[in-house]
Amino acid sequence: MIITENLEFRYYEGSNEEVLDNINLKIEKGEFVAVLGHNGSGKSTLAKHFNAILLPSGGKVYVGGMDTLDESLLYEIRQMTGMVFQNPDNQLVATIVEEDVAFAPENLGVPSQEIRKIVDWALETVGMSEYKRHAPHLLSGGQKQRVAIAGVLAMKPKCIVLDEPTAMLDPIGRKEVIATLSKLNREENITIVLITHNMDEAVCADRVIVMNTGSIIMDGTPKQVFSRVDEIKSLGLDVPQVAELMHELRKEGFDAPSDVLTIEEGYKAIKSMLERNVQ
Amino acid sequence: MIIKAENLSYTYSQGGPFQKDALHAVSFTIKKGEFIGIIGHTGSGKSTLVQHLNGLLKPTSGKIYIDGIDTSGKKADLKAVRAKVGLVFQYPEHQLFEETVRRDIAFAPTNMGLSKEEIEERVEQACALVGISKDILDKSPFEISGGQKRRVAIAGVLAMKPQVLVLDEPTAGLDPRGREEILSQIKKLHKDIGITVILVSHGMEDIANTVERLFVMNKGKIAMEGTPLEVYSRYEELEEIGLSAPQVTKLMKRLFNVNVCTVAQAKEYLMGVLKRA
Repeated sequence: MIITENLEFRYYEGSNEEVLDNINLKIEKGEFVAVLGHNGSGKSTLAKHFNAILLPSGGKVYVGGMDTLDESLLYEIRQMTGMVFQNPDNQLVATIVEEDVAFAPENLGVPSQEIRKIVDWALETVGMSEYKRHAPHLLSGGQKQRVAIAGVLAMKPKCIVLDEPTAMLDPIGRKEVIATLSKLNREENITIVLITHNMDEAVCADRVIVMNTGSIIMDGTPKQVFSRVDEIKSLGLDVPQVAELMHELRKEGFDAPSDVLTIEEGYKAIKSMLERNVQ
Repeated sequence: MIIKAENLSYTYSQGGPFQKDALHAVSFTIKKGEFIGIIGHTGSGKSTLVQHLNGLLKPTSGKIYIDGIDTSGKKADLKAVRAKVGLVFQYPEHQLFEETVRRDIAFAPTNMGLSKEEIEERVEQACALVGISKDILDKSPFEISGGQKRRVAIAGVLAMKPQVLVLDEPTAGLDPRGREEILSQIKKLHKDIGITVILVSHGMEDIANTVERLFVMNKGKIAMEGTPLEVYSRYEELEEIGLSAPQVTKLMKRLFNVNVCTVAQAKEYLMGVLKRA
């Protein structure tokens, strides 16, 4: 779906500051990838290469096989990969929810009957149908982000890249957005690239990529990545509390497993540690 | 008693077509020097409550007293109230506007009519309190990092020397390290100068490690009140109103029916159990 080859990026010609440094990455169709890294690690810069908002200073980015440096492919690339940003208030343009969702297909010249169908489907998919005639500014943050996602869906993308979509939301809003993404990934087979600081969200992904100073320094399943607790912490990031607890116990010499992320897994792990103690 | 609310109610657009009750007969007291947390989902009334703390909103009915001043009193000195209670809004860095960091922090003390020396001193003190170095004082607030901007904005409020510091989601949008830095800075501030701090947050883990006493808001009322440990132990109720307790709280409750709210507490308990076994 997305391939980067020796991708480099500097903000201006001749700058010594490599914002992205030799990134080689392959994201398969249908994957759900979380990208972690502290502020300034290059993760948003990387994400903006996935639909040609930014273009490589060196190396290549291919989206669905299309080279992002080829200007003639720009519209196709942007249709294939949609983006959702952090602040829901900056992304909604119309005064009625369904008009906002219709914005992209209208611009793509889709016939109006078809637009009706696409908009209804998109709003249904994100669970916002009953709000289609509402004004976006009266919705909650989580609802606004779901409308923004519907707006991207209306372009029928193969991939959606989201840059900290839950950072400004409360716990309910976060859950709504993450559940929507999981559903799109599972049911519509849409590739999801989720940039986040929230470790509980990263646990929902199939794959976690960790960035630091413009490079990818870890790439694996959530279990593989979050078992490296000290490294993650030294990067200024967090791990799920259960993983941290297990890590702390290991440091004290207990035989606690390193592949535990959820409450359920933690429950089983500690139960079995207790049983071993009895023997 | 620095803050006291008695049956405080607030209704938006009263009598209008969009009339909406935001607070229902809320009563509480906050003592001088306390570190209070307020949690609640969007629309629970926490922002409405916060705006009563320095007289930006006045009760529709009931009373709120700030250091003895009734904010809805006819002759209430709201200027005095606002000097006592410093309010740091969400994303406060969006409110920076001066040419230099120094002038931005000095804005309130200047308007308070203080002497040049006093202003200078307050700017320096405020910087020290939030941990920003003097090197950036003559930079534009627009050329410093996001974390620094937020500290500058907090320093601008501290320069008024308020007795109460209210922070609405001070860690929103920061990465884990930035969050930790801001929170430990606030904790230090509370310890060093004994200022009363009221922290509004969605970050349940952040709150657990930080505050002494916690109000949980739901539907315009205070639904729960107590230490983080007391409140988080009732995590089923928290989930019902759309909040969630930390992972370790739920894990330890399920395993041993004990109450913890931080990883350190869980670890301590487990080490006891595992060694005894």
